Amino acid sequence: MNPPGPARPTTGDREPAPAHRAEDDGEPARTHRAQDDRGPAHTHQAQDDLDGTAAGRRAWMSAARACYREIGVPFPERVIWVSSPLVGAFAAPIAACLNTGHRNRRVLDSVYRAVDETAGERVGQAVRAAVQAATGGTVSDPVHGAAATALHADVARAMKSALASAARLAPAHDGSGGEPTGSGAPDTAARPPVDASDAAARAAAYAWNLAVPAVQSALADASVAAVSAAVDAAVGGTRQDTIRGEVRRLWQAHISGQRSGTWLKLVDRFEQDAVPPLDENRAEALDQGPAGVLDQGPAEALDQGLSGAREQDPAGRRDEAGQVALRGMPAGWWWWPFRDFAMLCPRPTDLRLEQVGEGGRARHRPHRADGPAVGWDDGFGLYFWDGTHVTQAVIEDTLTTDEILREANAEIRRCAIERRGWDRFIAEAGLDQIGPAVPDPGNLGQTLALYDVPADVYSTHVRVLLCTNGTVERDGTRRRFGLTVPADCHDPVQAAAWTYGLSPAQYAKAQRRS
Amino acid sequence: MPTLEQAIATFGVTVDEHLDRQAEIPILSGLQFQGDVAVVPVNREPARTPIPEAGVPVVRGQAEANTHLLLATGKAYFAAEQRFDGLVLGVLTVAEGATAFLAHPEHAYTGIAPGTYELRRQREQADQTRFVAD
Repeated sequence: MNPPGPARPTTGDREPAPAHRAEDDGEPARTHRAQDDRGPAHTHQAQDDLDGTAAGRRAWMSAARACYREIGVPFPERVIWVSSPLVGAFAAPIAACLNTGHRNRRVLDSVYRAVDETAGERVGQAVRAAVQAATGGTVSDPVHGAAATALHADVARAMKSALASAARLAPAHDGSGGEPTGSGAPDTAARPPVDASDAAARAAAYAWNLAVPAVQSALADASVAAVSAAVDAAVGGTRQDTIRGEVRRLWQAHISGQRSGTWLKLVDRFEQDAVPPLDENRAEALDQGPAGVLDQGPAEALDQGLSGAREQDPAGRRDEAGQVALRGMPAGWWWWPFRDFAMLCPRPTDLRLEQVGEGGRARHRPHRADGPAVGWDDGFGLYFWDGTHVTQAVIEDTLTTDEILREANAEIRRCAIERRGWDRFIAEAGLDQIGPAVPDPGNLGQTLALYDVPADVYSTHVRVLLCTNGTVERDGTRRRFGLTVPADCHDPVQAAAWTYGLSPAQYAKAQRRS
Repeated sequence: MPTLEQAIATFGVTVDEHLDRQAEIPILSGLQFQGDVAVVPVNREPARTPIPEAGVPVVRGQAEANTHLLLATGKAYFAAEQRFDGLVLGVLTVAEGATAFLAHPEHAYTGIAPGTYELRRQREQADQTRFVAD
């Protein structure tokens, strides 16, 4: 079968140049002394400040601080921003073990090696750096015993009262209400679009129009799945020991704690004074719109919000949409609260979106054909095809035809076939042809061919029509592509006619295809 | 029949460089296709909304690069379908003496003679019917 494989970094294990890595290593774990989160921006965050990331992180830490206050535990001095959720999932439990006096170096080394081998050395190095930062570089005296206790459960219980306290201290600006709600799936949809009265608010509204809550929720689910698979690959084997057990135990505890809508509301509470500022060009472009961004569909908003340079660079434009969507998400992604340290991880740094639908019906979803659609700085990434979370193997097109056909999830099967291309898949899977290939009316010299797709490949029985483009590509070839059609289509012209809602007789009279 | 070069000069909407600039654009009144868009001659109430000089993006792709842009010389009208089922994008009416064009970076220009047409979007059968993006 084809389990969601460990999400491996895309560059780390392909560019093993040591000098390159040494440079990367300095970055992943950032330790802040506890008081820093209220202080002025750090110099190394200067770039982050431009898009409001530093302010967002301060809000995230303020929310964490509020939870500690509720449970009566001093906020730890060691606050570490790790480079990705995967790094936190390994580094937090490892650091907790070391801080409670774990002394077996051989076990520790074997866990690090397992991380290197399954998640890539770049993630492995980031894990070591984060552990170092969380343990202060020395194995502390086990007299601290309970000092490394994970506080997930306590914090989860305290979130509601922390939110209530925060609401009492600072009434909401936006009237969204201070009533805490129960835990559940991230309840980001509860936040109403803000009044588009200034550039910053318009930017938030614009991000909202990119369907940020839906994208964020898809990313959250995919993060859980990918990290679960990676944790399983690294420490889920038959070999077990204290650290491996702790990584698995904490991961389970962690997943249940991260799905709290109350937490996001709490972060939101601290973020209201820190709406990410836009850079001036974009703010001006937004201001010049004939109507408020709120009144428009995402496509129009995108047109006005993005400047002309991207019209020559479609890919760049898509990245820009992703960057805007990212800025609409909380600056933090997950966090791991302990008595003696807190580990936090930022939202992704890269997001590729594609637009589906037109005008007011347009929406966006993660998609990328040549790499991870979602990425963190250490190379950890999530792969998406047309909004569906898939494995790296699907996107890199390394599965065998058998592996595709035996994939248990019909949606992922479909993505894998589309990624490969129907013309290749038809040949490799030896699909049965229905009737002979026929000339494509209006498309001189080209043919249409129909194939049966076995009933268990898609969740509904379909056939696939193999067509050829009416215009040539740059290299002089014509692109061939497959379109799925209802299984009751019994000849290629009937199938082609169905795709446009025409009768076969109408389609046969086509004069031109370009 | 205008050449591709002439059409680009008229509308200022360019297409991929490798496409032959001297190729003539047939102006047709029958069924034709431009990628995932069909121009279907129909017997319907003519459209009455003039096509603006800047054109109407009848299908907007992932990026500007994939837009099918409806343009015209002379009097031509386009009414986007109100009851949106996705398959019919709208009704196009080209007056006598006028010519409409669909422009697309990869598919170049499609010339449309006087008459009334439905512009349709290609669909695909998946778990539910969805629309094709080229």
